[in-house]
Amino acid sequence: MLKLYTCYKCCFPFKADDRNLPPRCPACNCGPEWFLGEPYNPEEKRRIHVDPPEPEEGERDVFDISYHVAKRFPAGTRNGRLRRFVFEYTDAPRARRDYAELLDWDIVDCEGTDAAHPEMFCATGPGNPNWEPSVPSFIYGFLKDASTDPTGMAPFFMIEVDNIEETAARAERFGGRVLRGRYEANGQQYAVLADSEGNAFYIWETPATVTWDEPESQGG
Amino acid sequence: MSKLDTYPYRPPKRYTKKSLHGRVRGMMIPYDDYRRAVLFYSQVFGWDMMRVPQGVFIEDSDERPHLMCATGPSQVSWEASVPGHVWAQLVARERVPKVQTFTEVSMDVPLAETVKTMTDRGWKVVSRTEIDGDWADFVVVEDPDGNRQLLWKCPSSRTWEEPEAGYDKD
Repeated sequence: MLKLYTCYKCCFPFKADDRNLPPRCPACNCGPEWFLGEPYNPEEKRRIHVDPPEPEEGERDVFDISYHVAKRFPAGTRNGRLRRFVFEYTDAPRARRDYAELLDWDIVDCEGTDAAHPEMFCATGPGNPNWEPSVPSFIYGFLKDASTDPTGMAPFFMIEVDNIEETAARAERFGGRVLRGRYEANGQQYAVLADSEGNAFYIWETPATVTWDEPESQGG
Repeated sequence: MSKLDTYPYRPPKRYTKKSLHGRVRGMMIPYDDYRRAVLFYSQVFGWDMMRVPQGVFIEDSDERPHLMCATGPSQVSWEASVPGHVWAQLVARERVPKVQTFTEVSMDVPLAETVKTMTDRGWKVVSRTEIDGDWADFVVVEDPDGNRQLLWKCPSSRTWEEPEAGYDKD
């Protein structure tokens, strides 16, 4: 019988047939004895309410990887947020066609880009006029000509930071490397790092134009 | 091309289907040395980490765990709570050899059909993972330029109350 479930431990909602329940809560990993079920309704509105747990106070041991509510991230900074993907291409028309038709991305050239080797910005879901997603938990990203990557390392994602030099110094202290120092592109400030495992990625310095009223600028 | 047709002047199109097809929902980052990678991302970027719930995704081991990382404000499910960023996962390199996205595909189409639309264009399937009793359905594909994506078909458990399930309704 199809039911609506709420995890009593973490308040995660899901629907499932009561003869085919997931073995663990997909969010907090507790067993089915914690699942509260109620009859399914087509509107999928739950009557069972479970208060969401609160984050722990104080510093947590980073090697304690048991389930917990994610920490509070401070307001007034976007430091550390994983904000973009970057796919390199060798054939611009093919990349544009494939991603638009196969994954329904909305793809536009960036202003002033080289027409033969365009840098393309990709919306992968609903967004606001400033080309930021309008709902949580997905990102936009770039399609970029592989020949324009001087590192040859195909950096694959982008993390926003408060300050490029401070982040680079800290990364080196923890086993990372600077593959390309601060540079400007399209009015934005970037650098390219490798993490302690050799994976390459961009860091992007928060622009001075941010007002902190944007939905994507909100704190925890 | 008119300037008005370029980023940032033209707004993105509206997504009016009740579907998350094509959304890049996370990033999967391989590690060789578990403790070194945890220290790097927690100390350099302030990420918070927990072990991915068992039985709903890629198998791991106590020595080489598969970690979910909050990179910014997050819900109790560890999905982001405000727009514009995603979680990351740190995964042992023997299971994920190179960085890949975690991309959601249509819930209304069998995953094999979605993958076939890609392989018909020269994309290749890197791996298919099946776990006994697993609740998820996913395949890793690679485009002709070597970009890898784990394609995830959400189980029918989605209630559409989840903040991340929003779409353009008007």
